Amino acid sequence: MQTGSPQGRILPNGAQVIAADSYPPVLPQAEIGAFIARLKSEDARRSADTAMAASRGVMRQAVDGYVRLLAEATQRGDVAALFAQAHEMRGLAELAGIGVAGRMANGLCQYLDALDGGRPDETTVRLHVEAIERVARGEDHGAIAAVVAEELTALVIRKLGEVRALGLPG
Amino acid sequence: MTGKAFDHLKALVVEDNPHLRILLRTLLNTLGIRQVFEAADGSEALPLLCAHSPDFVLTDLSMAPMDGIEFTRLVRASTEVPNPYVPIVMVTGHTEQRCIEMARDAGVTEILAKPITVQSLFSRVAEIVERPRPFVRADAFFGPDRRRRMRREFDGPWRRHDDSSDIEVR
Repeated sequence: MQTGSPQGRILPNGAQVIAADSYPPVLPQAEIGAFIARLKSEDARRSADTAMAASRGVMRQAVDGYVRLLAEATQRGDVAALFAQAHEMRGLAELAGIGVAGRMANGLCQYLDALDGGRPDETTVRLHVEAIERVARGEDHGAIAAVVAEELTALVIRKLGEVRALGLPG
Repeated sequence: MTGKAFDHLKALVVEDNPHLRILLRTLLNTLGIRQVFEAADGSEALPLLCAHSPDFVLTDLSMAPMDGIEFTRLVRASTEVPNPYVPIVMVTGHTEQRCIEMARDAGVTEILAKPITVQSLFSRVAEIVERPRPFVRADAFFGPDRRRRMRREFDGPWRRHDDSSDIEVR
């Protein structure tokens, strides 16, 4: 079943613009105020923060698993798996309480993505993976981890510049 | 949890990472949304969408066998889904410009970048509830109007024939 077929204004190029009030709303108008009040309430925020905090341990276990898989993918030279694990890490590391590892993983993803299937520079990959492992093991944290992340970001920016300038990987 | 429950409000979470899926469900529960359906990819999500007609969807981008882009395209193009206008929030770590453009062109309503935060999730939910967007149906596109705002200072060429008449200035 299709929900109606609202008539919209037709543009000169033939496209139809359908006004927002002519298709089903998420909430009836009368309930929007109460919902937004709930969404902006201290109570909702506190409950959500509690849920985030409660999930941290599970997220951390998951991230530790991705770190292992990341190292294995690096050893195999499996770029697709490397990207996949780094991608999972960048989404979860912050929730696991090690956001700095997520930023490192994000830089690695950006570098691998820019190569578009090309072979990455092994040193760039190794530096990222080792830094992520050190953060996950708790060997690097705080200011030291932040400085390492900044250095890795600078490295990725330089590598991306080389990729753009030369049209070549690494 | 205290506060009003929005018992009739239904959400669909499409995410292959079970930890993140559970977290998203829990965060939606804190808003009083009790009916949260879950799927691990687009192919699991489509039957749920047809069966339950959720009021909005949160979907990951990278999933197998059906990713969030393909899922969104099918939702917008299908004559089977009850509400092809359903707001779709893409929750993704792929923040590269080409991924964002692909999502937009598939008909995604909002983008929520990973790592998710309570604030970013709640603000996207507020956006789809408070400010539903006009839809555009054209030969090669059906989805929320891709033009989000008109800048008063814009002095470039107009690309729509009736640019002055229908765009909300915020």
